[in-house]
Amino acid sequence: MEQNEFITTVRRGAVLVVGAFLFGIAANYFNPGGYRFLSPEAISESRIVEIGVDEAKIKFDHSSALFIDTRDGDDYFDARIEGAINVPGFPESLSEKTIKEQFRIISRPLEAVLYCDEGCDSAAVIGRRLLEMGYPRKVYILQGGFGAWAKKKHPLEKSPDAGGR
Amino acid sequence: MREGDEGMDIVRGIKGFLAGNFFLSAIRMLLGLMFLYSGFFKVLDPVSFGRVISAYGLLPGPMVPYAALTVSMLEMVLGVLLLTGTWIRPAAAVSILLMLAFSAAISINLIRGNEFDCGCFELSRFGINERISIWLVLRDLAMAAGFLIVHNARRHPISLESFIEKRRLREL
Repeated sequence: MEQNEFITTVRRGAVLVVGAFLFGIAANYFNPGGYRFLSPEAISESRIVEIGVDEAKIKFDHSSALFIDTRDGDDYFDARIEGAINVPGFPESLSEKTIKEQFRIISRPLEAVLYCDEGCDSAAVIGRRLLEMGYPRKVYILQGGFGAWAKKKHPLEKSPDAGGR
Repeated sequence: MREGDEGMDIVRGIKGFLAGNFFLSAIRMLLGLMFLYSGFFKVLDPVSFGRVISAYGLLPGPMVPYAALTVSMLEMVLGVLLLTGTWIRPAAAVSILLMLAFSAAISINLIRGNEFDCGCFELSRFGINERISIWLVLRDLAMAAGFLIVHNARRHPISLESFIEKRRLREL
């Protein structure tokens, strides 16, 4: 009898806790002052911010950002934003490998500004991947990509033998 | 002889209280009201309560909103059950666990040397900042003891449970 009473108490106690959890979530849904939950995808998207060339240049001048070139290795070799590192967006296997190798550098207390070519999506792909891997800050995407930066004649870096390629 | 009678009266009074009398029912309802009041404000503003939970530094960040929503609603539900006298034993058992969890959370932060507003009973809404202290631990433990007495009592004269049972027996 005592044991039955104990089991009933435990069972009802569990019902109370689970019920409170469900009611709490439901009440929060209708509460304008409550929590707003986002899906993991939406959280990632909210931490990927597009910026223009001028804003990127300010970050560049203040040395507050690490520029990440997500174009393929050949384009990066030809010309890149001064100081940028290369994390190619494609193929995926190379991209994964490079992110893992460079993650410690990328995670330094600097903002990450990613760029590719105009209209490409490799910068956004790499940005999402960085956030998935636990990159703690916002990821900035350079609007207009490398072309927009070069057009403004902002500092570029070329490999010594790039001209002969 | 007279002193002996008084002594027996006191013992009988304590036994009656522990077994469950009107006085214990009043205390149970008071504890229920306290939970109802505390939970009501937390349900209205779970984000503020979440900030209080974060200050204790015991839960990973992503769990804080869920803890805030669950604990605030749990306090409301326990308040209603204790006030009306329904599912008294499970409600008292969960209340004991809640009070022990609060005591442990405060104790851990006292050991860590932290000092901040405890977030108890939403008193900060009225400009009263109750900072964590050993007295709060003792108060929560005293309340846990109160819930234990409610849990162990066999009778609850002022309760929905008792009312329903009486009606059932009358209809037999």
